[in-house]
Order: sequence, then structure tokens, then C-alpha cells
Amino acid sequence: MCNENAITEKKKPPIILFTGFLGSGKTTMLLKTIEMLATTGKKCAIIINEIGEVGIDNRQMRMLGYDVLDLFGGCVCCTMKVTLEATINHLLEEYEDLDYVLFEPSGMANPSSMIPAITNCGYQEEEIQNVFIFDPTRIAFYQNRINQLFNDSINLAKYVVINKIDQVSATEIETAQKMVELAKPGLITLEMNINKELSQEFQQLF
Amino acid sequence: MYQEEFLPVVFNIRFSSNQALSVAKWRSRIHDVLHVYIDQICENDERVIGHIKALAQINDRDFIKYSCISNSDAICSKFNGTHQDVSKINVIINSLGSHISENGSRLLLERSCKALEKGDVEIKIQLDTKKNQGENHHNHQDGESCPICNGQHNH
Repeated sequence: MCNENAITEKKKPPIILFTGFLGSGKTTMLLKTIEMLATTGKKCAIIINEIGEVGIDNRQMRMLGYDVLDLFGGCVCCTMKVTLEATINHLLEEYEDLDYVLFEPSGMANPSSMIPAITNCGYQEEEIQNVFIFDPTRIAFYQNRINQLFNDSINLAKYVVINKIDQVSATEIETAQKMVELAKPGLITLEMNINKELSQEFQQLF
Repeated sequence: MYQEEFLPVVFNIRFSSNQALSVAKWRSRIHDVLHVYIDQICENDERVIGHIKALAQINDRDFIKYSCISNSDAICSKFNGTHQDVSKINVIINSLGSHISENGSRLLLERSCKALEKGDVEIKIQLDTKKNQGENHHNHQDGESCPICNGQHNH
């Protein structure tokens, strides 16, 4: 006997979620990832949630030739969760041949608030490729001001990218690694300067 | 979750000159304005810069993007496009900081613009006086029903 749900259920494109605090390098990471995926002919959808009444990153991406779906946090008609859910469902319905959905939430958003919206679209939590981008130039800030966001983000992350390694000392990189290890032992951590290039290890993940 | 701590403010600035200037010169001048603006923000120890971003739109495809998360010595900029001479550039600044109001931020930016105009008579700067009305739309064309919230925008 066939399972009708299994027959009708469409294959969903993996979601790559780029999380991290303001200025950590999420947009650059997303752009580099698109470039990487495009070289192998992958078709990607981009969702951006940017704080502020006028977006900068979405304009930048459009000027680079990408179509972007905006989620403006300031839009009072929808909560973030409902809007995100509707946006993902819209993509799944309208674009059957998508290979990936790339989502960059605001650097102030707690990833835990977004996971239910994604799972409501039929995704399992383990299917969400959550990449947390850690800015080691702001270690004290992470420790003292945004510790809750850091811990929540690390707990949900599948991979951590320690960015800006060209701007910090080896000791600071080591401290960043220890913070990640303390928050979630065994998490895959990659060090790189995203502005320059994505590391080989990262490229092999997707 | 830190929306109450970091207030986002947006400014539109038009830079113009009587004769066309190189993109490299515009890049440097816009950097100067941001430098003075950020310096003033950092004068108050209570303030924390979340992220200050700016996009200088040269034409439909070419741009310079600026980004800063700490002090004025750490403003990164990236140019995308072809080198050319232009006589005007529109710049959008998206500034997220703590312990600074929109009016306070605007005042600092106005001062920075005036400082540059004094130092370089070739350049005129116009900071939009009206507050931003925002982009209260999702990703649909005017007249089309919104696929995201089915036209339930509250505006």
C-alpha cells in the first residue's frame, strides 16, 4: 500500500541559514556561497531580513543581479514568524526546481524564533543548515553583552565559521574556539577570512 | 531580540559636484563623511555601534559598500563596478547604534557633511530632511497582491 503523502510530498530544497550578530559577515558569506553554488549550476533563492526601514544588503544583491525576497522587520502587518513561513511556502510552491534556499536573518534576531517558522513549512530541524558566523574582533562584546544570543545561536548551529581571522591574534582565535566548544562541545568550527575566500572545508559541506 | 537596544536609522544623502570626479575620489570623500560621523558617535562611551552600513549607488549596477562595527579607523569599503567619472552619487546609510536617537544621529551626520563641504568646495552634499517613510512592502510590484501577507499590510 502506497503512502499518499510520500507520493505527493515534493522534494524540498535545503535551507542554509546564515546567523550571527550585526557585522559578523553574514551578507558576504551568503554572497560567496551563492557564487560557489552558481559555479556548479545550482539554483538558489535568497531571503533577507534586514533591520532598518531601507535595506542596504537587498539593494546590493539586486545591483549584483540577484532577485531577493525581503522580510522587513518593520512591517507591522505580519510578525516575523508568519512572514518567514509564508515566504518559504511561496518559494516552495512557485519554484519547483530550487536547489537551495539561502536565508540571512537580521543580526539582532534570535535564531530560535525562526526555527518554528521553517519547521512549519515541512522541514525537520536537522535539515536546516544553520551556519553561525562568529566575529572574533568582538569577543568581549559576545561575552558581556550578547551572551544569551551567542549561546542560543551556538546551540542551534550546525557549523560555526570564525571569520576575520586576518584581523585578530592566534590567542583570540583560540578564545573564540573555546567559547564555541564550551557552549556546544564537538560542533564543527571553521576559521576563515570570508572577504578573501571560503575555506575548502566549507566548500565541501554543500 | 536586541531591537530595543539598537535603534536603526536610515539617511539618504546626495553628493554632487559641478564636474565629474573619479569614483576613487568619491569613495574617499564619502569615507571622510562616515569617519567624522562615527568619530562623533564614539565620543560618548555609552554608545555602542551595532553596525553602520552605507551603499553609494553610482548607477544601476555599480556601487561602493561601506561597513563599520567599531570605530572610525575600522571602516571597510568595497567597490563593485567599473572605474568612471561621475558628478553625483546617492548614498543610503543604515545606522544601528545604542544610546543615540534618530535626531541625535542626524545631527552628527549633518555636522560631518558640513565639515566635508568646508574642506572641499567642489562637493555639495544634501542630506534628506524628511524622515524616511520606509519600504513598507515585501517583494511584489505595486498593484499586485502580496504573496506574503495577502494584502494585509497595515499601511
